[in-house]
Amino acid sequence: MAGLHETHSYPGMLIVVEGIDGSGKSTQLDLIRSWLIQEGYDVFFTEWNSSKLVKETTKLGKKRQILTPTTFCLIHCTDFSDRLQRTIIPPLQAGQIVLADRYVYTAFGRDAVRGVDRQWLRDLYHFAVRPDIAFYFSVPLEIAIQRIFRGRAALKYYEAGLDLGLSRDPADSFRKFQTRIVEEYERLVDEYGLVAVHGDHPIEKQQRRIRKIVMEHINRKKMKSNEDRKHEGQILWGGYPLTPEHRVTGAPDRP
Amino acid sequence: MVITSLCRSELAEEGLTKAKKGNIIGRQTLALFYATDFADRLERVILPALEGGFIVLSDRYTYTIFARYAVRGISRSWLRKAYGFALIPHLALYLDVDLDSLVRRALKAEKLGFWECGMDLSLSSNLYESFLLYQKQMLREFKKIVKEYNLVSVSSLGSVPEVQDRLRKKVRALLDVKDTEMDARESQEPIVEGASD
Repeated sequence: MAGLHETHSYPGMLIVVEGIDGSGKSTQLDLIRSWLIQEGYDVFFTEWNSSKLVKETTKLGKKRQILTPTTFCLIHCTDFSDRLQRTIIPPLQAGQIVLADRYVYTAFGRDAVRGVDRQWLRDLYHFAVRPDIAFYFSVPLEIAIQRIFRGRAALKYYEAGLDLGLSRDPADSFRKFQTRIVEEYERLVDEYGLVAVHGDHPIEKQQRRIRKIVMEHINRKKMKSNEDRKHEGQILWGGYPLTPEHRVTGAPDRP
Repeated sequence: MVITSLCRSELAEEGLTKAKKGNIIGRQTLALFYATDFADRLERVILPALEGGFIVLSDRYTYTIFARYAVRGISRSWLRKAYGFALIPHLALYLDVDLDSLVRRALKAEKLGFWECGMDLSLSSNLYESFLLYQKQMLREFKKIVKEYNLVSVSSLGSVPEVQDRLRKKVRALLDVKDTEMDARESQEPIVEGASD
């Protein structure tokens, strides 16, 4: 376990986006994904709270509204651990690029707002891999809220932070909850060296800046696109470089 | 009195049972899933019962998780930190048993299952051999935990009534201490004049 303060030693690259709902992070990550694929990289994607193994339990807890700050935190950490072992680390070992929509910083923000001890959170997530780049999308709260309400019929109980008892009105509770999360994020920017992006700037302008930073990392790490690998004569199978001894006997060569 | 045991929480029992079945879940993830299960029972069963003055009996506690996952290569200090929110029990009884007796009991009870044999550790492809190797490691780990957390070790050799007798003595001793504490507290409480007719 290298921890979040030490650079990982995998040949692959981990890029994460963070920010409150409506900060534009998912839009930007989608654009990065398409661009990297176009550039000939194999890209793997994972998002917060999406482990197939854990999802049902989280859903049950939310539906019955039985999650406490501790169990809310632990079930999300379980989910993260499963995705880390299954969908994040293997591509990193294979030298691929992994994009993550939200990462441990989401837990550090949300759970701290719910009153979970900050040091305990950091100890709990100690097994996480430090991202190569972590973008933080900062955006004025009103803009984020407008974006959220435009695309959604109603706010869910935990999403609105109604479990915190800040307000009975979901919209009002959401606003107060997000304000506190932003405060937590601001601390994390310094603590973990997150790269701040203005989520209210024009999409293209943000994207240009992000691409520049990503490209610098790709060059520095000497990441290889599929085209580079072909030139070097590596055999590609499903996008992975495979040495002859790893190949299934008799499997046809990839065209 | 309230009884609780591993993997019996409203929140995580179903998901955890399902996740264990396919043997596709990672060890660390499983340790965290158990932590979720434990936290749910702690906060919604154990704590309310204690606050209400009940006695809570817990069949296994965090110590079992510490032993199981240390044997599986998960960092001991991380496990202890992750379960740092747990409550220290008034009394934690460790039923001490030697490997020979354990084997005989497990065979009689037909308890040589996949997890009991630690088959996920690939110590041996033979069920019986794997059981011996795994349980040996578990006993060694438990011995360390007994020392670290001052668990009260009780020999589990002999008949059920004999073991029960040993356990009751320990519980009785604790109840006596608690009673004395309670009496002392009550005698210190100031008498509020006019509180009763």
